[in-house]
Amino acid sequence: MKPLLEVKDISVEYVGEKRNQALEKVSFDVKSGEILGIIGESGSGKTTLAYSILNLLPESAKLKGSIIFKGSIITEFKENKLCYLRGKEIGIIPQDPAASFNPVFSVGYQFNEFLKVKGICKDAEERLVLMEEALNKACLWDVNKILNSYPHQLSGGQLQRAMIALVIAAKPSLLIADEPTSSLDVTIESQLVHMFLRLRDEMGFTIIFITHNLGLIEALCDRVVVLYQGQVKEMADKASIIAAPRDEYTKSLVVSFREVGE
Amino acid sequence: MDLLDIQNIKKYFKQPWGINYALDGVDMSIKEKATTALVGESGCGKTTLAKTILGFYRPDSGKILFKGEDITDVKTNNKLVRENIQIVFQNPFLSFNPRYTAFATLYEAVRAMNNISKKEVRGFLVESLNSVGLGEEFFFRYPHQMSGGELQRLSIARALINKPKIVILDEPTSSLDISTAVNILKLLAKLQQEALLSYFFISHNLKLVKRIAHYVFVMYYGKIVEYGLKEQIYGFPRHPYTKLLLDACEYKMKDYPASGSKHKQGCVFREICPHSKDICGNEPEKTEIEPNHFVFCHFV
Repeated sequence: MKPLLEVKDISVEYVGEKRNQALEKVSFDVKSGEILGIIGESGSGKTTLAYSILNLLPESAKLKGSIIFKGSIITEFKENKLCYLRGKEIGIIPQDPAASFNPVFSVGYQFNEFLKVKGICKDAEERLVLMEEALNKACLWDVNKILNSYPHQLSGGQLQRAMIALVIAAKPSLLIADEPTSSLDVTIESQLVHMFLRLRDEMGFTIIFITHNLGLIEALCDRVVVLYQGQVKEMADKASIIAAPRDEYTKSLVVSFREVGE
Repeated sequence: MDLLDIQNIKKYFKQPWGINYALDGVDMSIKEKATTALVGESGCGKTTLAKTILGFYRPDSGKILFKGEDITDVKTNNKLVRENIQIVFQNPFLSFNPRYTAFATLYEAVRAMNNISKKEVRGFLVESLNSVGLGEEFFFRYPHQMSGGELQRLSIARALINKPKIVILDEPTSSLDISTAVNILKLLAKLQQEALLSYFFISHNLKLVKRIAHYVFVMYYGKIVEYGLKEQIYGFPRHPYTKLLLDACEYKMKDYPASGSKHKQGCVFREICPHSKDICGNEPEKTEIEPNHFVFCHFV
């Protein structure tokens, strides 16, 4: 079976006062229905990789290589065609939810607008049902309070779950989660892990899960890509990476994870 | 006698939507030359307690004793508190003046306590920076020129420079990468042995706490629910909330009902607790189930 997403020899360079090679010849593929983990430390290029898939990089970034999604080369797409993909076909959950909601509109208004603009649901009442369903899936039960609140009135955890609800309401074929839990505490983190597993098992989502926490990879992912200073160091099944890492960097990562754990 | 004794501290905040019982009768003690950890989820009052100890907040009632001396009102005992209790904050990027170099930051800290001339101070500062693993190249750097891990080391150097007895560590590693976090924890353990420090370690991550702590206190919405030696808390957790936190660390916990109850009366955990019964409406008694291991629950 053909993979859902193929990333071939992607290189990203930030051009400015100082040249900065953020990614160097990164290749991997994502199969339909799997959770692929991308792990690396701060500055290893994880977020650059996530944003380059949707071509959301700043202008100073120069991208080379090709990305193939459902058989078409999306790196050659024009902006309007990409716009169609964003949200509807490929959803992205950013790291900091507070920065991704507009502070002057209520969460419900923004959610409604997203569904309307993307043409996901034409009828206003249906949209309301859709929003409620999505919020429940993301473990938010007090739907009216969430929808009528402004972003600053909600906690970080609630806002992050509202963002997840917004993204999954569009039922994208590919979900990119960029460290969705790193600003949350363990009780919420644990709930979200099970939410992602349910999304995959019950609704057939394909997920790219970006993190620096090996524990999350262990709990959630099927395969892992290890990123270090912009290069792919290792790519294998979860079990073989954790039990028998081959690369030096992966080894040190596993060691420091074990040291914290025991 | 314990180094720091916290007795029945209460701190309420009035909010537009009601009263927030941030600390609701907290009893705690910090032992000498050991690490006491406080764990709990976001918003349960961990940082409020740290700030109350330092006198940033004035408690509504209760007492804080340092070596038997009352330090609840910081104004009367300011010097004693500042000399003996220091803090390392969660976010290293927000805890420095952006216009001060590493050297200037530490110099200011030294000057606040001692009368020391600029010439004499240099050797002292170099030694302090070296002890946290910052070499010569960092002396004249500004905060924005340093990484999170390096800044956190500087933060530790600043806390230790006047030789305090207690250092409050408010989630010192939660904004750092795992490999950096491990190095910081190693450094903290080394410094504790050298200077015979007492740590008050605040965290939501029970895995980190297991590595560093001697005593563990578990807090839930303004109240301590269980405390004891590390081995007891990890080996035989008795309170349902402690068990839930331990599960969450392993990502085993699936469902967690919406935010917890904030009742004034009775067990704070009763709305979420799987064993909840009518009796939980009454205040649970402190029960000693084995030496040093205390639980606040009706069902132990």
